[in-house]
Amino acid sequence: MNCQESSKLIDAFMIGALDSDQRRRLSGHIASCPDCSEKITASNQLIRSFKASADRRAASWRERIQIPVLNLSDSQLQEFPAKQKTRSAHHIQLVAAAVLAVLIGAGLLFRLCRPATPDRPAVEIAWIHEGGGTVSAKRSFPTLVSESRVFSFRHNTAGVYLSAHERKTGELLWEASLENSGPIAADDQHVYVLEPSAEYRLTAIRATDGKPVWQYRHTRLGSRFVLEPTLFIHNDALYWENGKEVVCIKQETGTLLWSRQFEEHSVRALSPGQGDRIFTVLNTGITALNASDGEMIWSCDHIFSEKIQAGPVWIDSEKDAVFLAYDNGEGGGKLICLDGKTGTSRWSRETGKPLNLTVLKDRVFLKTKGLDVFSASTGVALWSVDIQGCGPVSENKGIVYLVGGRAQKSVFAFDLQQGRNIWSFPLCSSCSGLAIVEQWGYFRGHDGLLYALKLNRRG
Amino acid sequence: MDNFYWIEDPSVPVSSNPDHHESDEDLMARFCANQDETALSTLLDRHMGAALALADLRLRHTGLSDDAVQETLIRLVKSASRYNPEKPFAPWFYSILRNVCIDLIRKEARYRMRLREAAEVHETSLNRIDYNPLYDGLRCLKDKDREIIVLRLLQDLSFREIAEYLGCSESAAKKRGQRAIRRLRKLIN
Repeated sequence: MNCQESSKLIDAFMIGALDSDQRRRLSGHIASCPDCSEKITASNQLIRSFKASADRRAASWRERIQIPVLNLSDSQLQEFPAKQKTRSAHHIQLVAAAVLAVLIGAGLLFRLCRPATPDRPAVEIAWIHEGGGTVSAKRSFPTLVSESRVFSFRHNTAGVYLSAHERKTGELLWEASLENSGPIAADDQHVYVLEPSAEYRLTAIRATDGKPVWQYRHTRLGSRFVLEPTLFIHNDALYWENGKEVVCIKQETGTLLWSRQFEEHSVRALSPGQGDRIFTVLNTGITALNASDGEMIWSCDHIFSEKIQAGPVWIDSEKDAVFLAYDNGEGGGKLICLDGKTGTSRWSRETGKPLNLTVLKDRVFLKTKGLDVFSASTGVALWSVDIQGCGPVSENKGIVYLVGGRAQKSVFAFDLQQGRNIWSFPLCSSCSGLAIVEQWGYFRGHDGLLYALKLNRRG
Repeated sequence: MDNFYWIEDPSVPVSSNPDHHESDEDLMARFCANQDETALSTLLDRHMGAALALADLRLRHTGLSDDAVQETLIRLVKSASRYNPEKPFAPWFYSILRNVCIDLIRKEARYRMRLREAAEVHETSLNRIDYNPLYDGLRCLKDKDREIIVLRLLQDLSFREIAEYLGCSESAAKKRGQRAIRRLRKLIN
């Protein structure tokens, strides 16, 4: 494709009127043509500005209609005939509409934040970014936040997009079109995306402008397709598991450092450990690997019986301990703590059926029907709350944050020590977990919007 | 990087993903069933920007377009019982708005008077909206062309929904959209 053909397609592309083949050809050209790339960028800026103007106009419309709140009943509304309106009836109708709009638009827009004290709300919505598109509740990846940026996926019928936003203002910095969503990891210079497809593609994207820096492709082994593989950064390298092997990639260059295949034992989970080791869960048990070369340090086999080999497991580690939670196949679960250096058992206990595991601040947070919290040192139960959350638990300055599932679409804040509920904040959408940095929380709702919350220490 | 491309694409359809969030139709059905204000609130959140833009562009006066959108809301609430949840919400909603705008322009003499007054302060009035150069180009397009562009760019309506709104086929809507965006490009260049 040359620039002349590209120009013809760019305008149609801007309103989404291209078919997938045209779009792919245009994309191929754009990737190698700075001029056409600039045209797309300029058009996008124009459209973004147009959208922003429309948003401001809508906001202004709501602000300008400041009238006393009246309660107009249905019967009062019905009194106004649809035709042959009198001036007063028309006026009252306008007032009624304005009241409706103010009530609905202003009051309920933010779903009636319930502050803990009248003068200082526990949570404030700092910004909302409307990207267009939705986020699948069935398969979505949590929003990730680095020191200065927020990274989030959005989906729609045209594809999958990874967007980067300025953390405190929500300004869209860039947006990258991908073929698939996948786990992401980030530092302040780069964001790394692992796309599971016919092959696994790991791409390093520059955090400042969204340009790809390198891409590593890895052949998928076996028939098992891991929808949500694990990806993390550890000791200047990226690690992921794809069901059959653990792969280590050099963070700076994207070159393969090592990969270790487990022919007989499927890899079911992976976690970074302290120092030069990582932990992986296989069908038979848990194994510690040397992070530098993938060599086995120790293995604790025969943890799982045959009956529970197919069930989900969760692994996390803190300090020199590794924690494992799994479904025992009988409606309950088991939580095990092993010494990270030797693999010897420190403690274990029966639990409810586990749904997620997070370890932080010497606490093990296990999601079951509610949230159960144990001492990481001894396994003693400390406190529990009857809230079924989703996504990982977050913590900041002694406050634990939990996002409720679809039934309880709220953010809950608990005191880390005693589990006292400090506040809750209703959300307008369910989501896949809250990302916390300092006293800011970020999540992409299943309504497709990206939300930033300002979290106060006390309400 | 054959399959890895980097194009910002803000103009993508959202409403054809009913599995992923509560659709406009579900929200409207919820409102019809039990007067659920949160459902109506969500609908307003989604459509207010585009509705005001369409009204502004057609009526060319912010005061009139404010009235038009308010009147549209009134009609929406009053005719909620006649809404068929099996049909897409957006074409129905924007049809109400279009009818309200047409009523305001054609049937009410007092509005025509205001419109004449508005013409004199037209630029001032619209400049206050803080629209960008696209706005000037859109004003010069035919109504249907303009509506396609606005509903695609601001509302992410699918071409199927736009086709239903315009009363034409999906492919015709898409072709018309392509022609419209080319005209718009010429106008703003």
